[in-house]
Amino acid sequence: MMLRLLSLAVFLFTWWAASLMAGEQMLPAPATVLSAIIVEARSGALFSNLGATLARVALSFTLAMTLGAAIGYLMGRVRTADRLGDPWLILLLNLPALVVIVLAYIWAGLTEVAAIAAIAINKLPNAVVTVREGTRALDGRLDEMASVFAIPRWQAFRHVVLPQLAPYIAAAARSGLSLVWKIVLVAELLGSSRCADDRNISGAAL
Amino acid sequence: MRPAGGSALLDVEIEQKTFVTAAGERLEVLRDIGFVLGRGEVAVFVGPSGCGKTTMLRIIAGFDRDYRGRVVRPPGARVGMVFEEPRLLPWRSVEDNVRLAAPNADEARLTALFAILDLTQHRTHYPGELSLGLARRVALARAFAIDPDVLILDEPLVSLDDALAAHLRDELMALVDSRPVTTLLVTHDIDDAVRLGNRIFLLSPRPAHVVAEVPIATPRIARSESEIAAIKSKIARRTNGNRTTATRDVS
Repeated sequence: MMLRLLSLAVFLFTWWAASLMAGEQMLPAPATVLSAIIVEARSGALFSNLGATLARVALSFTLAMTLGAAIGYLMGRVRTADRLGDPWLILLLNLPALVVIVLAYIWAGLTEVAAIAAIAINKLPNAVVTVREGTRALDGRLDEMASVFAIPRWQAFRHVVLPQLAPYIAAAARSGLSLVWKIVLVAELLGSSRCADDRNISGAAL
Repeated sequence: MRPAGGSALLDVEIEQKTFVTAAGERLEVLRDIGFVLGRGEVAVFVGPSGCGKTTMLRIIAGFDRDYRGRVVRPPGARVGMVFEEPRLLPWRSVEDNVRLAAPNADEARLTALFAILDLTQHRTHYPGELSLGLARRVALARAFAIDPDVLILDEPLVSLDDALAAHLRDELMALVDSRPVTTLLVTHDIDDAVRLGNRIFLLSPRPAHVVAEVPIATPRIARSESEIAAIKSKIARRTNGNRTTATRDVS
């Protein structure tokens, strides 16, 4: 704990020192940022904006994880699905986040749906790949056990398969959450002319 | 009590099973293995290691459908299986492992089963906390808890020390005698075979086929040591004639 605090202090000091050298125009000092946060918090704008962003994060994350885990499981289990899905997956994995977001806004307009869909599409392939690897690593001997004892399909999935996939789903969720958090700001910045509550982000950034 | 089974016949007729190796070679593993088992019969398969016994069990269990021939089980038959490794779910306790396979087993039945197999104080333990011998017993409990019509045992006593194997074999005998269950047992151990089986099938090296069948009419409990020894030497003579590895177990 002490080491963490020390590390954080070093970070703040470096920030402050860099801002002194570069000037407030290039890099606002920690104190300036803090006072801006306080002003926004007092007016209430901080919390409504943060709430809107968090809602987008939650929605797109849930969407991407659910869909990604389902597709990943299918691709890990069924060879035909893997062969069919693989080129799409490679395409999505290598598609820059910016391209997806801009295309979504062009096609669907500057709407919430476009923003959430664009963020979800960015996260989706990552979840697919992780869960697919987990599915490939499933122990076939336990599947045989479940089949010979005629354990009903859903029961077997819940008690034999899912516990084996849990670490992979956790890994996908952890990396996915940070990814979605980063991309949601890009989407908000680009879509700011429509969403009034995002004005502050683009204003600050520009 | 149960509607299933009728005469619970198991009709196995495997004409041929081949594997294609990574190098593209065809490897014949089984050839013309056929037998019909009646309700409550215990068939023991003895053969050299690597001869295809496990492959045969996998076909009978329904895991492997890529073979020529047929396996007819009574419709609706419940199959219990004990694998060479215990195959327990590490994230479920001993009791929950058994209950997942046998959701209909009542408390009295489970209590009795755990008592027979000396597992009573291990009910809440997890497989990671068990020795191999204990894990094997849990696998046996799981197979018996479902009240199987057909029981498939793939070397359930292998790599246990002699005393424990003998103890577990007696437990197995008690369980098989407690109700008629058509049983297939694969083993290297002629002693186990003669003490447990009604019919002993001697298998050849690969491609495995049945070299000889040795029926044992005397009920398991009534078998005297001298009779067991006589049957064992009879089997030894047969298998020696066919140059198998079974000699080691008989000596």
